[in-house]
Amino acid sequence: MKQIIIKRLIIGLFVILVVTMLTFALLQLFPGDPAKMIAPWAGEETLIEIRKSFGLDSPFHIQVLKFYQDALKGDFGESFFYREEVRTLLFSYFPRTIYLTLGALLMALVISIPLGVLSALNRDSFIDRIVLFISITSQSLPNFWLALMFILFFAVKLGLFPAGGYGSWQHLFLPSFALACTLIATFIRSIRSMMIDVLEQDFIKASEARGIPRLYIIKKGLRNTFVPLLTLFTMQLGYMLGGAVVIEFIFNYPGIGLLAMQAVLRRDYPLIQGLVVLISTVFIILNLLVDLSYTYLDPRIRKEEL
Amino acid sequence: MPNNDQKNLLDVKNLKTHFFLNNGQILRAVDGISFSLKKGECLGIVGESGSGKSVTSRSILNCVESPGKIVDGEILYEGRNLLTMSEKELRKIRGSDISLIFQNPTTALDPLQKIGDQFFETLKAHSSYNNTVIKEKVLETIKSLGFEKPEVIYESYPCDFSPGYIQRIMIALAILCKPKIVIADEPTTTLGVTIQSQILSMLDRLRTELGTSIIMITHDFGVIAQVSTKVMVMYGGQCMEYGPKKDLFLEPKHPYTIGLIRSVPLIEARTIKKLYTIPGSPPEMINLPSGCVFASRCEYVGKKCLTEKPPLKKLNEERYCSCHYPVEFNTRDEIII
Repeated sequence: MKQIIIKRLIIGLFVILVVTMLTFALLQLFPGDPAKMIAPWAGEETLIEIRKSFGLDSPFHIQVLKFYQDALKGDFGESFFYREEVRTLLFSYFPRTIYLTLGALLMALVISIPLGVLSALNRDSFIDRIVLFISITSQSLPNFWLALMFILFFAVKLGLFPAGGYGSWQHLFLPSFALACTLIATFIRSIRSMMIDVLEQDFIKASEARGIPRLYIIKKGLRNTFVPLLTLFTMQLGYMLGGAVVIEFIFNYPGIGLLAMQAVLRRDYPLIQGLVVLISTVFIILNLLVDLSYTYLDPRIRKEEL
Repeated sequence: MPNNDQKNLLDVKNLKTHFFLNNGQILRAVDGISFSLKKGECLGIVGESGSGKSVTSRSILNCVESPGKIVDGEILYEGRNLLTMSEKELRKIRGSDISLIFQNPTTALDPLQKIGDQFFETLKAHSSYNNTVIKEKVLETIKSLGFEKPEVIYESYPCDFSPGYIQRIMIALAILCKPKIVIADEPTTTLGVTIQSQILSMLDRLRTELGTSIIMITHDFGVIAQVSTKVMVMYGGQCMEYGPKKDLFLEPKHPYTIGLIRSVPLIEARTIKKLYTIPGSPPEMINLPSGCVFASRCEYVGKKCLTEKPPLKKLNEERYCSCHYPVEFNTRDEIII
C-alpha cells in the first residue's frame, strides 16, 4: 500500500515537471510582452527596465532553472501585475473556487441521484422520458446563457440572490447552480445507466427472490454504483477546481478561473506558472485519494491490493 | 416417505410464461406446464439449455421480469394462488416459504456487503425477532450446515471464498427462514465434481431430515438420478414426460427422455464407444413448429408428429407423456445400446 502511494506521488511529481516545462515553452512562443502589458505607453528604456526587474532579460534556460530552484522552496515568485507573492494570491483565490465547486457538486448530486435512480427504476416509462428530457435540456443550454438567465431572473427580477461578487453563501448560490446544471446532464445519464446495469445483476434478482423490501434493494443498487460514480465525480471535480472560467467571469466571482484568465491576458508569467502547478497538483492528489478510497469501498479491490 | 393421499404443497397448473419481444414476436418460454409437489418430494426438471427450465423456476415465485409475463395458469401454494397475490403478500412468501438457489454462486450475493449482513436482512424481512436473536439464528443456520466458523463467514465478503464454498453458503441462506420449498436452479453447473456431490448431498439431507421439498432444475440426468423422487422432462417450453424417477428411468416412453438418458456417460457400460448425442439443436423458441416440438430431432418421428401437436397423455396415476408414438422397451439394456 505504502509503496503504491509513493510510486504514485513520484509519477505525480514527474507529471508536474512536464506540465510546467510545457507551460514555459508555450509562454515563450506566446505573442505579447509582459512589460508592454504593464506599461503600454512606456518608452523602450522603461520597458527594458521592467523586463530586467522581472528577470525576463536573462536567457530562457536560466529562467527555467531559477523557476525550479525557487519552486522547490515553495516560492513561485511575485505576480507581475498584482505585485504580490503568487503563493499568497493562490491561497486567497483557491478556497473560493473550492467552495464554488463543492457547492455545484453537491447541488448536482442532490438533483441527479434521485432523478437518475427514479428513471432507472422506471425504465422506458413516462417518468424516464421526462428525466431524460431534463438531462438533455440542461446539457444543450450553454452555461453562459443559463448564467445570464439566472442573473436576470433570480437576481434582477426576484432579487433573491446577488448578481455577482463574493462574500456570503448567497453569492455562491447562482454560480454554483449554473455550474451544476451542466453536471446534472452527465450525472443523471451515468447514474441511470449504471443503476440499470446493477439492477440487472443476479444478486439483485436473488434479493428480490428472497423477499427483501424494495427500498433495501435500491440501497444495494446504489451502493454498487458508487465506485464507478466516484470516478466520474472526481474527474468533474478536478476540471471544476481548475477554475470555472466562464461562470466566474460572468458572476465576477474572484476564483481561480478568473485569476487564470486575467493572468493569461496580462502575460503574468509567474502567476500562470503558479496556477498550473496548483491545478495539476490538485488533480494528481485527488485521483490518488480516489484510487485509495476504492480499496475501502470495494472488498474485491481491497483483496487484490493485499 | 410421502404418501399419495397427502395434499399437494405446490400445484402448478397450465403455466404459460411468454416473452413479448420488441419486434412484436412472442417467445413462448413456458407453454402450458403442470406439475405438483408434496412435502419432502424432490422434483427434477430436466432439459437442454433454452427449454424453459429457469423461466419456470422464476415463474413459481412470480418474479419474471419484463418483457416476460405469466399469461395463463395457476400456481397454488398451500391452496393460495401466487399469481393473484399482491406484491406485498408475495414478498412474504419469497425467501420465507419458497426460496431460490441460483446457478452462479459468485454473482448471487452482493459483492459489497458482508455475507452475514445479507443473511441478516433476509431474516429481518421475514421475522419480528430483535437484532441479537436474528444474528444468533443466522449463525445457528450456518453452523447447522457443517461450517466450522460461522462468525468468520458472517464477517466475510463473498470475494473471500471460492464459488463452491459460496454455493454451500447460498444453501444456508436459502434455508435460513425454514422454507417449505427450495428451488435450486442448476446449483452445481458452474462447480467442480467434488463440490457438486457435496452440494447434492446437502440438498438431499434437507429433504430427508427437514422434510423440505426441492425443485431441482438441471440439464444433467446424473444429478436428477441422485436426488429426485420425480422428474419432469422439458423441451421447447413444454412438458415431454412427467412421472416418478424410477419409472421414468427404467421405462422412458418419450424419445426425448430416451435421448437424454442415452447421452449420460455410464461407468458400467461394457464397451467403450462414442457417447450418444441427440442430433440437431434445441428449437428456436420464436418459431416453434406446429406439430410436436421435438419432431425435427426425433428418431421415431411419424407423419402425425409434423402436423399435430401431441397432447400430454396420462399413462397411469402418476405418469404423463406427450408423444404420439411412445416407445416401449423391455429391458434397460435396450435403452442404453
